[in-house]
Amino acid sequence: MDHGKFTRVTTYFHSLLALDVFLLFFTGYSVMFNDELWWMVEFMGGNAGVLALHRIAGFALIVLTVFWVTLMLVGPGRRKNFKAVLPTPTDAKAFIQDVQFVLGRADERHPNARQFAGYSSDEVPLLSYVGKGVVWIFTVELVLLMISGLLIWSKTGAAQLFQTKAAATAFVTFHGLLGVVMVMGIMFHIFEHGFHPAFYPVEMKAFVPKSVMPHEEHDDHEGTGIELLSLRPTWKWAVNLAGAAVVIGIVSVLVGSIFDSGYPIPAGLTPGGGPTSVLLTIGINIGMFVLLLGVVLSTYGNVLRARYEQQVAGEQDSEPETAADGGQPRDDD
Amino acid sequence: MAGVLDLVYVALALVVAVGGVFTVWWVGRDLDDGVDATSDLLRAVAVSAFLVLLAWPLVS
Repeated sequence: MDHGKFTRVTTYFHSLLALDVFLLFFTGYSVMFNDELWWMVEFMGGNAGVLALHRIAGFALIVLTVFWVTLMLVGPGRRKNFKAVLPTPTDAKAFIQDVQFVLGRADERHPNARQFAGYSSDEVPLLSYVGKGVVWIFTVELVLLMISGLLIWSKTGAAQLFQTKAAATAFVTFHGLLGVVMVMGIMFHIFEHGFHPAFYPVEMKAFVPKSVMPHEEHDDHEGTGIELLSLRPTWKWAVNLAGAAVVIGIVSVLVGSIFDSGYPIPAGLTPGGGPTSVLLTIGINIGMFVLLLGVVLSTYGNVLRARYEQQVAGEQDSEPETAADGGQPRDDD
Repeated sequence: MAGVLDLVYVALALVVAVGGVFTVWWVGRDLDDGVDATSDLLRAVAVSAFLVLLAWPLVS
């Protein structure tokens, strides 16, 4: 398979960002849904412990963002990559053609929609329009969450800054609800890259740098090598289980955000009155399970990367040295 | 007014989720991919029933 796109620093950044964002979600949601996730609050040291962890993770997110923006500005070749992430009119055409393809009115997907199976890296763009969407949506959400998070860092300070308690409360509510919106994308992201039939249980693109991604030639047959992959027998039940968990998790968190009236959404601002139910509690916990699955898959991807690099290093060590003319080296005597 | 908004939001979430689950079943029911369409349908019904039962006590 030949679809390596991430540089080594990008793979590290992606893993660190994922861990940090997961910590922000676990701490943020355990505060927001403290009725349903009481055990998570207790596990992380009560309200004070959770809020301290949330602020530490928020600070780490700012540090990671500053690092990434600096890298994009001064890193070699980064500006070219940045241009490749910008949306183009062709991406809009690709989206329209994708809709037509699903409806049976187009024979194939647009080149700007190609990301996975059946194409070599020369045939697909650095990012499909879907990939660009993921990058931009997550970027905008994280920036807004960072800004609103900084503004509400201190509740009394926020109230003084905005003069009125209502204005400060609005920012708190915005921060909480934007987190709910973002979790939908994160859950889909975990499902998309963890349960794709070609790559299940984890897509290695985000973990193995493109510099060491294998680019094997398959001269004996047509294709890119995806035909050689076999579907793991556990995929069927795993994809059904994970798919159901993602749908239930997203709907439960959405419904919970409407009815829960605890911090950060005051009762006066929520349409509902704060009732809960056993199934809602189960559903929100299923949503947290999907996020935990993301942590596990991220860790597993890094373990596989380490094993693969160790294997490559071992193979290189065992290979005999090659003479300058390409032949086998031999002693002069 | 708040009660109406509750209903609208919850109904929207349910329509998107349940509609999505059944759309996936509908699109894939004739595919020769080794996945049994009937058990897929049962799973879609189970997920939908869970979501409706989850939301019902909150809006009724």
